[in-house]
Amino acid sequence: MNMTQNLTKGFFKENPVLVLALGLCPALAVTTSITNGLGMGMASTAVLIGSSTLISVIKRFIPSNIRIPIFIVIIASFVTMIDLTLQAFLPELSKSLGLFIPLIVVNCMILGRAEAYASKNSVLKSVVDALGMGIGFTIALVLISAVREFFGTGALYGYPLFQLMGIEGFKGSIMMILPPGGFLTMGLILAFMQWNKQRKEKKKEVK
Amino acid sequence: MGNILKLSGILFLVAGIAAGTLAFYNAFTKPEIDKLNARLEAEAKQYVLEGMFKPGEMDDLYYEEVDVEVNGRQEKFWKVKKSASHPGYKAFVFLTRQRGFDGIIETMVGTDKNLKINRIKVINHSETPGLGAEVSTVRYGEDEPYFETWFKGKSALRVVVEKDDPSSEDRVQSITGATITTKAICDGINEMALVIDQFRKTTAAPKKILVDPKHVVEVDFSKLREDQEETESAEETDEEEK
Amino acid sequence: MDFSNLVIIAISSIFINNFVLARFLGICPFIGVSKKLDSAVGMGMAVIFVMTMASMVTYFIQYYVLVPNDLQYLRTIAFILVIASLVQFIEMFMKKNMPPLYSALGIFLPLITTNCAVLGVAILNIDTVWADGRSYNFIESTWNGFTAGIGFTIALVLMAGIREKLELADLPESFKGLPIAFVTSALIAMAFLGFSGMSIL
Repeated sequence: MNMTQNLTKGFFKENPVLVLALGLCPALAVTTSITNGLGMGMASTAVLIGSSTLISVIKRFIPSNIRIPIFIVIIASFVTMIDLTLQAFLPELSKSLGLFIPLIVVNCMILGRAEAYASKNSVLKSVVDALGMGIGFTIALVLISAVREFFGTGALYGYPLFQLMGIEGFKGSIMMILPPGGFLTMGLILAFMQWNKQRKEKKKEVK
Repeated sequence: MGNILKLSGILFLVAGIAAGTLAFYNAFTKPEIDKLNARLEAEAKQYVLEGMFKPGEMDDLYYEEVDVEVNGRQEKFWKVKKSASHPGYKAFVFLTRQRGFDGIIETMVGTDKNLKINRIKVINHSETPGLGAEVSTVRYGEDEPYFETWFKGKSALRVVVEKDDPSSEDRVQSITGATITTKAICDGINEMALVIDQFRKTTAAPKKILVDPKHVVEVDFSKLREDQEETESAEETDEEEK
Repeated sequence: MDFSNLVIIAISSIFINNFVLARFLGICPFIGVSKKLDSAVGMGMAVIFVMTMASMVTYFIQYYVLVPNDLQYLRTIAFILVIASLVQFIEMFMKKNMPPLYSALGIFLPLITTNCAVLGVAILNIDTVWADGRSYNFIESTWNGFTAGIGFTIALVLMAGIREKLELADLPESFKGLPIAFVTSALIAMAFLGFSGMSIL
C-alpha cells in the first residue's frame, strides 16, 4: 500500500465513525454545530497524531503484556496537554466541548489505532495513518453536525441560508439539536452508507 | 516475581515521565490561563458598562471591590468610579452565580446607581445546546446575543420571567423550552441586587464588617432575604398610610 | 446529610440526564451489547458495580491526593489509570472468590475500561455543584455513580428488548443492523426528553 492510499483510506473506506463505528460518544454529543464538530475533530486528530507518533517511536521498549496501560498513559498525557492548550488559547471552544475533552482518552478510535497500527508500523507510516484517520474522524463529525445544525437551526456554520436567500419562516426543529436528533442523524447516515455499499455490490454481481 | 517488579517498574517510570511532562506543560499554560481569565473578566466588566461612561473614560475606570457572603457563597461586586480619586460612584458591576438546568451559570451585570440594568453578559454556562445555550447565541447579522438585550433598562431588583408575573414592567420573556435557565439568571440578578441594595441603604454598620488596608469590605448578609422582605413590606405600608 | 438531595440525584441521573440518552456517554457498549437481553442485563450489572466503585475511589484520589498537592491537572491521567487498575482488580478478585458472578459478568469487565460512562461519572462527580456552590460529598458521589449505572442499565435493557423484536421485523435492507438501532435510540431518547421539563433542582 502506498502513502497516498495509507492517508486516504481513513477518509471514507475505513472511516472510523461511519464504517468502523468507533468514537461514537463524541460523534453524537458535540455535533450540535459545525464549529463544535470541527473543534472536536481537530482536537482528537492532534491527540491521535501525538500518541501514534510517540508509541511508534518507543514501540521496541514497550513490554507487550503491559502495553495497554502504557498506551493509556501516553494518550491521557496528550489529552491533558490539548485540554490545557484549549483552556489557555481557545476558551470558547474549551467551554462548549466541556466534559468531552478529557473523554478523548476513552475514544476507542485512538487506543484502537495505537494497538492495531502504531505499535506495529514505522514512524512515518504511523503518522500518515493517524493523520488520515483523524481527518476521517473530522469529516464524519462535520458531516453529522452539518445535518444537525441545518435541520435544527436552518443555518450552516452560523450562516442562516434561507434567510440570506430571502426565504423567511424556515426556523428548523430544535429536536435535531437535542439528543434524539443525534441518534436519528447517525442512523440515517449509516443507512445511507449501507444502501450505497449494497448498491455497489449488486452492480459488481451484475458485471 | 522479578518479572512483575520489572514490569511495574517500567509502568511507574512511564507514569512518572508523563506526570513530569505535564507538570512542565502546566507550569507553562497556567499563567496563560490566569491571564486570559483576568482579561475576559476585565472585558466583560467594560462590556456591561458600555454607554454609561464617555468612551474616553472607559479605560481609567476604578472598580472598588466589595466581597460579600451571600447564602453561604463567597460573592463580590464592584462600585465603579470614574477614577480612583473621584468621590462618588456612578455604577455597579456584579457577577452572579446561579444553578441553571445543568451546572452553574455565571452572568456579569452592569447597573446604574439605582440598580437599573445597563447590560448583562452570560460569561459561563453549560446549558443544553439548542435550549438553554441560546442565552449566548448571537443571531446572524446582530452583534450581541438577543437574550441579553431583553434585560436592558429593567430593574435588577425586580426583573422577572414573564410567565411568573405577566404584568410586571420588569418582565423578560423566557427562552423557548428553557424557562429554568431564564429563571435562574433572573433569580441570580435579583439576589445580588438585593445584597447591593442593602449595602447601599445601610448607614449603620451591618453585622460583621472587616476593612483591611486595601479597602476590601467584607459583609455578612446571611439573613438578607428576610431582612429585605421586611423592609419592602414596611415601605409599602408607609405609602398606604400616606 | 440531606436525604432529599439523594432523591434529586437519583431522579436526575436516571431520567432527566440519563447517561446514554441525554448525555451521550457509553454509546459504544449501548450499541454493541444490546443485541441480546441476557448480555444486556449482565453488562448493566457490571457497569453499575464498576461505576459505584470508581466513584468512591476517584473521590479519594481527587480530594486526598490531587487537591492537597495542587495537582488537578493530572486528573484525567490519574482517573483513567485508577479505573483501569480497578477493573483489572475486580476481575481478578471475582475470578478467585466469586466464580459464579465471574462467569456471568467476567467477559464484560475488560470492555468497561474504555467505556466513557465510567470516566464520565468520575469527572461529573467532581464538576457538578449544588445551588450553593458545594460539590458532591462522598456519599452523594457514590450514590451518583450507582444511580448513573442504573440509568445506563435501564437504557441498555430497554434497547435490548426492542432489538430482540426487531430481529423478526421486516426491515428495508439498508436499515438492518446498526442504522435501525440508532433510529430506535432516537425514539427512546425522544421519550426521555419528556423528563427534561421536570424542575427539581
